[in-house]
Order: sequence, then structure tokens, then C-alpha cells
Amino acid sequence: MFMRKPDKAAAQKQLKSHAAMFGAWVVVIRVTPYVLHFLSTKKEELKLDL
Amino acid sequence: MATPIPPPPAAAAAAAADTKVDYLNLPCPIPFEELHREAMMSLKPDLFEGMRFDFTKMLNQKFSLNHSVLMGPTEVPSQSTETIKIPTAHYEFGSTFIDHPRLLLWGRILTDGRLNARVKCDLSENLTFKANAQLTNEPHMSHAMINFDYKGKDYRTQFQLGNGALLGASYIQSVTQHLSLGGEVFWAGQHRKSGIGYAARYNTDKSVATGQVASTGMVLLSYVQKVSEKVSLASEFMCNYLSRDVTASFGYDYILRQCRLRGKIDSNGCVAAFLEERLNMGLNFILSAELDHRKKDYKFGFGLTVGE
Repeated sequence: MFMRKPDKAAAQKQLKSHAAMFGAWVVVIRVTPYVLHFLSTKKEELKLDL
Repeated sequence: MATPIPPPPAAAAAAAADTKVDYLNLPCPIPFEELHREAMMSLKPDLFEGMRFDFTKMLNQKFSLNHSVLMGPTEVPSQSTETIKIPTAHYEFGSTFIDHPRLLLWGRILTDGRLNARVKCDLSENLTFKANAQLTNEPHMSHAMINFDYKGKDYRTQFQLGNGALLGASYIQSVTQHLSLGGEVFWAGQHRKSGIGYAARYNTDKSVATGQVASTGMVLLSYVQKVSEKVSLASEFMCNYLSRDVTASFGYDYILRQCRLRGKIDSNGCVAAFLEERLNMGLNFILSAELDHRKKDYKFGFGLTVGE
């Protein structure tokens, strides 16, 4: 017995969903070092105030 | 005569500098497909059954030929749970061309007509093209795949194209000095299935921890610890939460001056060991053993490798 192929429209919708999730994840990873850099710099500035 | 006081040692300053991470100058991570590289080296050696003989001849600095003979039983698929094996023998002829570091051409052909080919070419300083193919006489059984790898300052991205309308993309980036995060997305057009995966890798000088999860149900965790200069211990947890398959593996990698011994035991009742010993310059002796107690499948192999 062969597995039924999913419906084409449903499959494409799922592909778009997966591609969107992948793109969002890439954006999150890309932004993380800059956020950490900003936080570390801000912390340093607070130290200077002391 | 008074001498000036020597300047304070720079080690303290260096140590202090090390504690501060420069998030704008992160290292470049390893490729996404090699995420579990250390665990694979320890837990998945090239086990075989029977007699194996490999002979490599360097014709010049770039070109080499390879002759391989493998004689032993081969497992054939069967309906029953018992393992059925038939004795077989293979001769494989190979050639390799390496124009380091820009170009690599690799080919292997077996006596039954199967051909394996690989190409790796640096198109530019940061862009690499890879291709691999498995061609066979049987209809609809040939496969081919091409990759484009781009290496950025602190990230790597990859695009894949395969026959059967196979598409894939992956991305991995360093977020701290020791932590890398990545993801992948793939589409199998022939089956109209798509998937997404996430991965993370944390590595220090002494240990590597990795994790990967995908929408196909695959979950893979691994941890490798370097116990000493010669010994590494590895562990791996693999499960599929859709089909409920679970496997845990534990292994070791013992590197001595003249030999390397790797072994593993997993929760499926499989125990394996792999020994590579250098008898002489260009002559290596190999012992392989795999005992699958659940399937009652026991494999023992020995081999010689001539030429580097």
C-alpha cells in the first residue's frame, strides 16, 4: 500500500508556514548578538557611573 | 643603581579581557551538517563485516588511485524477523583529484555498475559549490544533490537541490563565543512534504553539547567530553516522538600513539568496537566488531589499508 500524497494546496500552505518560521528564526538569531552587545555596553555604562 | 620596576604581567589583563565577550566579533561556526561531528566520530565508526583491503597509490601531488576489495556476507531484506545473509564480493575502483584547497574531485565505481561521485569547488573566497551523485543501472534508483555553501563572518548558510524536487536551506550562526544556533527548512516535492528543524551547539575546549529537533519527529541530543589528551567519552540520545523509537548510545574514543580504539553500547543491545592500528608507515590494520544481541546478528571484520 502506498501513502497518499497530501493535497497540493495544503502542502504548499504548510511549506509557506515552515518557510516563514525558518525566516523568523533566522531573524531572531541574527538580532541576538546585537541585543547582547547593547545589554553588555549598557551594563558597562552603569559601572562607569559608580 | 636603582632599576625600574618591571611592568605588571599581562596575564591578568588578558584574563580580564577574556571575560568580556565582543559580540560584534564572534567566531564562524562549523557547518550545519557537521553539527554532531564529535559524537559521530566516536559513536558511528565505519563498521564492516568480512575482509577488506584498501590500496591507495599517489600518482602525483594531486592525483591518486584507489583499489578496494570487500569480501563477506551481505544482509538481504526479508519478510521474517530473522537476518538473512548471502556471501558477496565487491571490487571498487576509485580516483581522487585534490587541487588544495579550491577543488576536490572524487569518484568510485563498483563492479555491479554503481558509481559514486563528489565534487567540491570554491567559487569564491566565501562561496563553495558541492555536488554528489549515486548512479546505478536500476531505473529510478539514481540520486544527485548539489549544495551552495556561503560562509559569512559569524554565520554559515547553505542551499540544497536534489532530484525528486528536493529543496533545502539551512542557517547557523554564533550568538556567543561558545554557543551557535541554527535552523533548516526542506521540501520534498515528490511527496509534497515540507519540514523545519532547529539546532543548537555549545562547545568549549573540553566538551561539546548539541541538540537538534525537526518537525519530522526527530530529536537528537549529544554530549562529548574530552576526559584527557587521549580519551574522549561520547553519549547520544535519539528519539522520534511520532513513531516512539528511542535509542541511547554511549561510546568512547581512545587515541594512542600507534592506534585508535573506538567503541559504543546502546539501548538496543548493540555493542560495537573498532580498532585502527598503524603497523608501519602507510600500512594500517583494522578490526571491526558489532554484536546486536537483540537481533542475534554478530558481525566481525578485519582489514588492511596500504598507502596514505
